[in-house]
Amino acid sequence: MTSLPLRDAIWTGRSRHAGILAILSVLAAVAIIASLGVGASAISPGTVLRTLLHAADASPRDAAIVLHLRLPRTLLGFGLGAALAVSGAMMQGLFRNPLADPGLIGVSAGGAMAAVAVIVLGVPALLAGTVGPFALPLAAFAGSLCTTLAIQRIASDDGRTDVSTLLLAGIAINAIAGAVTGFLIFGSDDRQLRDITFWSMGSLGGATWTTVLGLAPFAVGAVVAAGRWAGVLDALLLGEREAGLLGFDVEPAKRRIVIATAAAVGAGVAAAGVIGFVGLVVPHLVRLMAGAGHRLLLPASALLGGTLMLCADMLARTVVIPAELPIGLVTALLGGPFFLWLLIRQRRSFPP
Amino acid sequence: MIEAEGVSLRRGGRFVVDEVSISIRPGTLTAVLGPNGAGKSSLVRLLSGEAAPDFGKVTLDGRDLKRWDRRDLARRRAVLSQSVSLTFPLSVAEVVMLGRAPHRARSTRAEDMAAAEASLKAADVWHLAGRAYPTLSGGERQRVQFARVLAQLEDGGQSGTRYLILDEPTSSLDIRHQARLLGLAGGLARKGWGVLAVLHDANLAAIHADTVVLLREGRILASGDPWSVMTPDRLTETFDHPVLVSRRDDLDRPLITPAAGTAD
Amino acid sequence: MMKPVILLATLLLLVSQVSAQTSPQTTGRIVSVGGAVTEIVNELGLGDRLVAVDSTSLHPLEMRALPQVGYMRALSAEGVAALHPDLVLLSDNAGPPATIEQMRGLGIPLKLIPDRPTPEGVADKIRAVGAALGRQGEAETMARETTDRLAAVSRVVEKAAGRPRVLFLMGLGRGAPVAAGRNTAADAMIRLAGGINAIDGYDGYKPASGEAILDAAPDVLLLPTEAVDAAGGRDAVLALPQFAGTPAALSGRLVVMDTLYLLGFGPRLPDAVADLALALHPELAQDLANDAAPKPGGRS
Repeated sequence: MTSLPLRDAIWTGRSRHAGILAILSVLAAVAIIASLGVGASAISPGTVLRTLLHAADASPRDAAIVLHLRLPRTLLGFGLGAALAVSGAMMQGLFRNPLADPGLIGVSAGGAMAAVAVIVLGVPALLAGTVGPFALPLAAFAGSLCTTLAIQRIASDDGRTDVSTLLLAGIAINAIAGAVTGFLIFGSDDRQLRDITFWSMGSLGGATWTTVLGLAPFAVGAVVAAGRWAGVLDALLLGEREAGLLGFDVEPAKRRIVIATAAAVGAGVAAAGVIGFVGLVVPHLVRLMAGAGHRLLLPASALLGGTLMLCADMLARTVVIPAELPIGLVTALLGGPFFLWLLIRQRRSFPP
Repeated sequence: MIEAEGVSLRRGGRFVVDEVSISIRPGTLTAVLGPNGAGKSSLVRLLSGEAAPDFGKVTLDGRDLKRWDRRDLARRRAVLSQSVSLTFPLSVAEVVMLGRAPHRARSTRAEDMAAAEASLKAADVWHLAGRAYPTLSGGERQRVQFARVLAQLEDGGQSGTRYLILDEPTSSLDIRHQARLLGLAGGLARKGWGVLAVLHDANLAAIHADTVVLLREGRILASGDPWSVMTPDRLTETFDHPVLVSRRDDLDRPLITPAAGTAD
Repeated sequence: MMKPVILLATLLLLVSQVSAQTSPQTTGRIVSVGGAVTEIVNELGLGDRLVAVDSTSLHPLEMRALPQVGYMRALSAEGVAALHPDLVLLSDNAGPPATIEQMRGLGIPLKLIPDRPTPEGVADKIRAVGAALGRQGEAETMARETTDRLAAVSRVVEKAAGRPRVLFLMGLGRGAPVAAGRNTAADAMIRLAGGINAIDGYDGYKPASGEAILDAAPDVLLLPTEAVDAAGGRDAVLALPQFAGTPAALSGRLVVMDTLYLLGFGPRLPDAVADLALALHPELAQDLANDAAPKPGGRS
């Protein structure tokens, strides 16, 4: 009879979910449109629109800028932001720690190590012909995945993955990868050093259709798969033990989540270098707005992650026209202070 | 019936559960009492299928727990763990709806909501449904988890006895809610469920249990109805502390009073 | 039906305010990337056609007022495209490769200039820039002059009595200072000016420990101007504990030079070599002034 509280909590909750997703979708659409319209070259809004609809009628230069620079860059940025944010949300759920991010399982450190190795040591002559310009992204992807698999392997015993061991192994492997990277940097020349520095600050500047197609399967795959894991991720918030008692097959789920994250973030590292804070901050923001349930958290993080990444990129490529800031710089510069504010706020509302 | 036959569990080179035979019978509330480190929680892990015994076996309806599908098992037995930590801001309703996870494929949203609603009311947390879990007090959290466990076993037309395993379910509760929770558990037992509760408070066990089991050093010292098991000698032996037993004024159950011992 | 279109148009309009950076079409708009390349463009008298340069193009001074396309190894394709250049001169050290590919794809006219830190490299650079700008004649003259002057300086330097051991340090930040090893532009400059690189144990620029610096026993310390300024001046540098006991510190021999001038391997290379040679071999002052002075009116 008096079923009001539950209705408040669940039914209005559900319509609120729909509302939040609708608002975020609109924001995402706005960001995508804006991202296509912004750049160093002034191209009128009408021209952008016409070029998108009828590329054949546009001037070759406008067509090239809109279709071959801005469109792939926008798609790459959105996909990357979505993949990073969803991966961050999954890692935080898996580790039951709101401060977890994909970097914890070695993705970034492993990718960076392999990328620096390619920059410093070059591509073996045998491969240079076949992989050529893809050597760096391929290496970064392989490095990310291998590092994560190694961490996962170390933390697994008898088919069970111990999450706290996973965390500790991640810290150790991150340190080792960081040291190897440092060693490679030590052996690098001035030019390589600059390349490494800029690569490690991340950039969407190299976006081409090839990069977009390289990232797409992993980003889309991770976001779609994440939706299927919402239930088990919710249950994992209560702990692995409770999730198991609720009938979830926790072990394979954990393994798949870790690997999907590594693949998505690894592909992102390969496409654009290391871009921090999106995976950490975006799920946080969504939880503030909409609570911690993964059925909403995951899609909302994807939308907000993509949107914020595009906003950061628009800033990165317009503030110092005709040059460009590394986007990792922008995300860290915006994300860092925001994160500090969150921490301080959290300490005030939940004193330890 | 959930039945453990001569089960042993080894941890860190010693047996924390040592050749124990125990059963959770439909229609019965069994209370397990014992000092710290007696192996009560390990026994819970064995009976719930969370840990596999090193020796012996645990069956539900005659089938080894290892051979049950996790989800089928989750619809038949639920466990209220000693402590569940949740720091993320799930709402109380969301936490309780998690209990419906094993039913997701076969029940409708409306059925899940009805089950959640009934469980929230039974656990006296209906008024908290919209609150964020981390903002609740310890006792409220325990009741919400109890509601979640109840929602897990709620299954309108399904057949098969439900088994409810409670590991120190009253540790954070006030007197009223202690009585209420165990009263409810007893009611479920009379409805035909099998209930096992690990308790610290011997008097709660004496009041609510149909069967009392005394556990010490991984072994069962005694098992039976409260009057036959809860004798001063046995309780003193179990807890290694002198215990007095008298009769309650309000109902025909033992009243247990620890002697005013001091640290030696 | 109308509303979304209006919304879209408004958005694009708002957004395009940010990007209103175009200038009218002119012919001969040049973007130059690479410090030495930019110097050569100026030497050829085409400095006024430069519309933007990279952050390593610091000489001559008016270059610093031009729009910046960023660091030469972190260029942005659309940023360069927005300048509507008729020609982009790129040191072949410029990057990243993906961006250069994108610029090609946009049809931006690019010319890659070979950029090697050797005396021959300078002449090659001058000829390549001249060819790209249609000033082959002037470039040839300039390349010859540069080569000849370098040769003259070398002849004077050969007469020097000794070969001082020179230690080049990139900076004096915290921790071990970064010193130039073999195969660096600094190493090449030291040799051209009649010195010996005091560090021969490794390639490239690496942090050198205090002991390594003492072992290297430099007669002369060579530092960039910024590093000396940051450390608090000549006396402060010579008093630093990591140099205590080195011949350089004892005799107070510290040479301070502008980084781009010293290491740029541009058209000013003969001057830079002569300056460094003078600092290393004061006894050659007269010879350098007589035999290796710039031709009158040749350069500013």
